Amino acid sequence: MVDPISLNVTVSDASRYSNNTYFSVSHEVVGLNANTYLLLYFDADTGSGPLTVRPVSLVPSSSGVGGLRKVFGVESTLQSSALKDNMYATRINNSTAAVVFLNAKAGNVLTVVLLELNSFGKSAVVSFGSSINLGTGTTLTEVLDGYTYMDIDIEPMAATNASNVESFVVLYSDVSNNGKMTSAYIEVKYWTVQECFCHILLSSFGH
Amino acid sequence: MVNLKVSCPKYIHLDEIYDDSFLFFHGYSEPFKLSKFDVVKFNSLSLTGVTTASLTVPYPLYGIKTLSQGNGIFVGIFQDFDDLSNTANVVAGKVSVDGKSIALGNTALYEPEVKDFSVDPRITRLSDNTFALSYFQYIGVSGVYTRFGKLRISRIQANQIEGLFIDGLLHDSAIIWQYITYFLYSRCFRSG
Repeated sequence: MVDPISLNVTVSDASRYSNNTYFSVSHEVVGLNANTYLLLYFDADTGSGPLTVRPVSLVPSSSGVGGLRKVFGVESTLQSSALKDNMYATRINNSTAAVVFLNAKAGNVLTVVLLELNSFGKSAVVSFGSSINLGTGTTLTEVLDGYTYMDIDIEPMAATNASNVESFVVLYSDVSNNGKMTSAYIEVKYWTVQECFCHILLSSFGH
Repeated sequence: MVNLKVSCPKYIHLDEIYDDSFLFFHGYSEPFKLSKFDVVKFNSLSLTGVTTASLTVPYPLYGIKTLSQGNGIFVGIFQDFDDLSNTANVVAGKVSVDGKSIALGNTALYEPEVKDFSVDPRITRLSDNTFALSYFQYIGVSGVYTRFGKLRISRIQANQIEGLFIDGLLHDSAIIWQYITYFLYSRCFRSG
């Protein structure tokens, strides 16, 4: 039996954070802590654009849900990137996250980038840290344009409420290896966004 | 190894709900318009698992997220595909400590009218009782929107169903199998 409780959900008012009207715009949200989350999307009204991140801070309010209201920070754009399809992100700690996406601007290579949040509220801004590429991208470009879509996932190797995540796994379908499900185990070695990724272990499995 | 036979889900997701179990959901659009939850307990030594509870709901969920691991609390995001409305909602749920039942609470409307999602709405955990959403909206001023939400836990009001094991058509079981394999694989790393 489930414990005798009820679960009542309330949601805040809506805020439009991007005017991108492309019908399949890729977007993602990742929570860093109880008062901060990051919004990720590609910044274009076409089928592809650079990765853009905008932080949201929840600040005390007299009338908002949970006594909080949203305050948007400053947009940051990774000009060396171009997204077309899915992206997923995961929290690492209270100010850091990792995002994985297929980078159309780098030969459709699967790229993992660290994001670090600085400050809070209106001045909050995300800086892009070190990145790693899973595969060279060369074989990925052999896939015809429009068929580069593949589902990807990134999951922390830690409990949901862990203060720090020291490693995570990226799961993807490797089109350079007959589409085999492949996991990349990535250990975060240093707690600076400029110098972090080590010990990458790739493993393919499934059909 | 756990091998669930399910029929072509459009959305699947796994999330750890207790240290020894996870919540697996598979959502469907046409023609089923429903979603199923399975609670799977696993044995880390033998890397095997067993389904301990299942729950079916009459709407397609797009994603779930554990809010309070160890207390079994999660939230799900879904769109109502009935003929009268295309509303977008959030629902909260709880898996019992023994993993044998799942209860859902109220649904909270976050958009009164949406067109069919061509992009998945996303949900993330902020704390044990708060979350945030991101979704694309065609109707009105189109664009990408965000909201945050709060979960209040009080006396019981939820419906609950116990112990139904899913055994549907075997169209896409390979990917389910791979997903579960991935999860167990991850746990193997963590415990090692």
